[in-house]
Amino acid sequence: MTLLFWTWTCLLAPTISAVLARVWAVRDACWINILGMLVSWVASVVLYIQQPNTFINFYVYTWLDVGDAFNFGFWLDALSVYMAVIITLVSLFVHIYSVSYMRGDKDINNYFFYVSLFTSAMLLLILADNLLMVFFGWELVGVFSYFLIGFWYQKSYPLEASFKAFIVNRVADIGLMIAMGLLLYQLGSLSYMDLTVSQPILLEGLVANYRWVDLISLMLLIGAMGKSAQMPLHVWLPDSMAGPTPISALIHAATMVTAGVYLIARLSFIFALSPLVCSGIVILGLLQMFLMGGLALVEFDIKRVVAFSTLSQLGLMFAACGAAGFIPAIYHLGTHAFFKSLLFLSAGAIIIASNHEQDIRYTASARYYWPIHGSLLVGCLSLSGMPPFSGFFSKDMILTTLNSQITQYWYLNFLMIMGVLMTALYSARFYFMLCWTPKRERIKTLDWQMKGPLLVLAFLSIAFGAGAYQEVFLLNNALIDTLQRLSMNDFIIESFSHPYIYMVFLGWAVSGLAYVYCPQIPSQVVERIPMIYQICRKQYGFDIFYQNYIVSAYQSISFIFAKVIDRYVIDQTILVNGSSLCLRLLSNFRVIQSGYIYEYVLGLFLAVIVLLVGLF
Amino acid sequence: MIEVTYLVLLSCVVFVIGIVGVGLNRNNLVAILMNIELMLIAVNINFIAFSNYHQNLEGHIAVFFVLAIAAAEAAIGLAIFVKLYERYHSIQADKFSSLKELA
Amino acid sequence: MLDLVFLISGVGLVLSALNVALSTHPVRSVFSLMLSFMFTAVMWLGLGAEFLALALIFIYVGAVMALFLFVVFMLNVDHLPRALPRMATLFMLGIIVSGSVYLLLEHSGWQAELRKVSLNEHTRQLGLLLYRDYWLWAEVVACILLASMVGSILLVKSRSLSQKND
Repeated sequence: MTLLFWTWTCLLAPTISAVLARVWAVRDACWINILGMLVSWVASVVLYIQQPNTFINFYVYTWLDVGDAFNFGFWLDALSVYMAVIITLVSLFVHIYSVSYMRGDKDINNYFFYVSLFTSAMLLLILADNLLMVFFGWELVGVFSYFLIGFWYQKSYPLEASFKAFIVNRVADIGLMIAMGLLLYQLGSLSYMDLTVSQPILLEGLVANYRWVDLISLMLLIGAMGKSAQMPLHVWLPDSMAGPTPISALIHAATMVTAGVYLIARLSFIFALSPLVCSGIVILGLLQMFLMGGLALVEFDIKRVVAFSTLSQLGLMFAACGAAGFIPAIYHLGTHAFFKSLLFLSAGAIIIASNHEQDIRYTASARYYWPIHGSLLVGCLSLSGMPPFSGFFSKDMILTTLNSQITQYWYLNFLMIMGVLMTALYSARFYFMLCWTPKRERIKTLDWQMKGPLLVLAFLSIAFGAGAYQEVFLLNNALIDTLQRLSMNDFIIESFSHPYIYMVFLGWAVSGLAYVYCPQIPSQVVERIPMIYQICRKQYGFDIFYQNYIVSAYQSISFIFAKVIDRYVIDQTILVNGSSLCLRLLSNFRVIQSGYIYEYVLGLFLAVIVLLVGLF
Repeated sequence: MIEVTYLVLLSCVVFVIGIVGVGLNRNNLVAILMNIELMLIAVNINFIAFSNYHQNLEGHIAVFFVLAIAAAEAAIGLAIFVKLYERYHSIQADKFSSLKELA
Repeated sequence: MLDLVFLISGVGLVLSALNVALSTHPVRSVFSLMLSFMFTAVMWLGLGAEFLALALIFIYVGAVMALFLFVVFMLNVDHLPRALPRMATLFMLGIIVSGSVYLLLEHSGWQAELRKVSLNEHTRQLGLLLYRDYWLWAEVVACILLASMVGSILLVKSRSLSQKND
């Protein structure tokens, strides 16, 4: 079996199973999808085991040959197979979990159809060997995200949320398209191979102070910011929680939103040439990490808390990319995929168990129900970066990398420390509020389709970080990275010499104090700083700003076009007055149109003769 | 040896035949349309001949577009003839004079 | 050999074109027009326009002329009397014009022999040219074709609609 075969299997197994299950469409057809995902996962593991030392570029098909050829092909290296393994694994567990979560929904076949096709699209994005194919995958995952956010289309809120996600993503996609055009214009190709080879052209331009590369990376960044929900294009992600919870776990935490990070890491050789944009990424990422952490601290909707924590973690990954720490960023992408989908799935379990109550003040307590309590605890500890959970390794690697890059900027360092503290605070708050506050009725028991994925994901959240610590340096083959390669012992010792780890302990301690022992503290703090609290509750006013200035401006412009320009300018002025003017001017020429063909033919001859005479 | 001038002359002759045909067949709109096609083909021969002479394919592009537009024109024209026949039971060009100003 | 082909197809083209113009029977005109397209296609092949020659045969002879034939059959037009007195005038004018073109060409003394062509690369180059330099016009023509398709369908279909309304 060749690598190409396994690549095709990995890519097509979800699609084929989705189509088969959709056509068959019986009640338990979803097990076909799960089988397909399993096959896909096995294929990706085979790819991982046989992964090439540097890269393999499979040429499949020439799609367009217009001077510059646009090919379809696959690009296998450490980065893409690593991503493929994580995506298929999380997707497999989400499929299994969904069997229980979506039981009884009348559109359950559509649901599995979309989820499996989403996985295929995501794999297409990962395995593509050129930016055009990436763009196809990029748009396809956007479409399936749109379908799945609006899955309960009978209600108005999911519909609006899906529209919002779609439109915000289109705004960002324009950036990606412009970047693709500029790359085509400057380097003449979109395939990774050609881009790598012709990257020196950009460097020469840079030497000649001809800064195309800044523009290109800025546009790529805008594209990545939309899909990865970076400020100020993050507004769609909290609202996307209107979809089913497993979808939030798969699409809006583990896979699709990390596509932007993947894109930046994949094109790291272009970003490396633009220090300007890279420092912008660092600042934006750290700001996002801090600000979104603040939002997670005041939110009460169980899913939106996790969504804000996702935003904050994505900010951290972006910051790492900006500081050329691509390996830590991708490493964190992997660990984050596991513990965040774990958190989402346990949140979904709580929602189911407390009868679709989503406010964390009123949900059923998970204190004495160990499957949920345990997975929440593991997820939150891992999210906050507590050793030895997986989040600790990846997050600390990012923080070490960032620390070495930004020591001279005290404000960035401060922002980072505050961000870490914030992460610990909100994850501990999430855990304590769900599991330790005195609560209502006993939780219902879950069936194995829910428990199994929770158990495995909890195991991965504990073990993946340490287990993949050595493996992750294989990414060196795919990425430009100057990461210092430490052994695990040295790494842990080193991490205790930085203040970040102590911030995690501090955060948990403060949170435990505030939410378990003295529950009056949060309300007192809120009374002290009502202004900041209100700003956070309003999510820094991004939505209000967009609604008041962009959406309504657009609407008023459309109104002007529809009601004023169309009615008065086009209809009245041009059509009515213009046509009467034409009539008056041209009525004198009517004589020419005699209606006799004979005269027309004579006219033709006359014209030919005049032409000939002119030539003589 | 064939020269470009012969082809130009040939296309001129075909074009003139087309014009004459239009003049002769005023009783039959379909025949007029066919003669117009003849004129178009004459023009196309010219294009191809000069394209060959200049070794430049842009003449072919022009012919391509002429062919496409002529096909569109034929489709629309024939549809109109069908409608006319339905209404007046004739396709004599001279009979359609309801828009004409009364002298 | 090629000269012979050009000669035969040229003469055939002129004769069949004359039949298109002069025949009083519409069906004969249609078949003559088909024949003249065939001769033209042969000539174009000799000139190195193999793609257009085949397009002419497939699209024109195959589709458009079939449409003509169909309409002629459907409309049931008899052969109609033509305006004989004008025939002489028209032919005189035609001969004058053709003759003067001939004189013009002779007079100018311009001589240019046709080039030898190879029949393998033109289609590809034509495609590249069409979709790289003239793509916008290709799109425009596509729109026109679409519009004409919709237009002719609507024109013919509206009969049944109006009949229903009656």
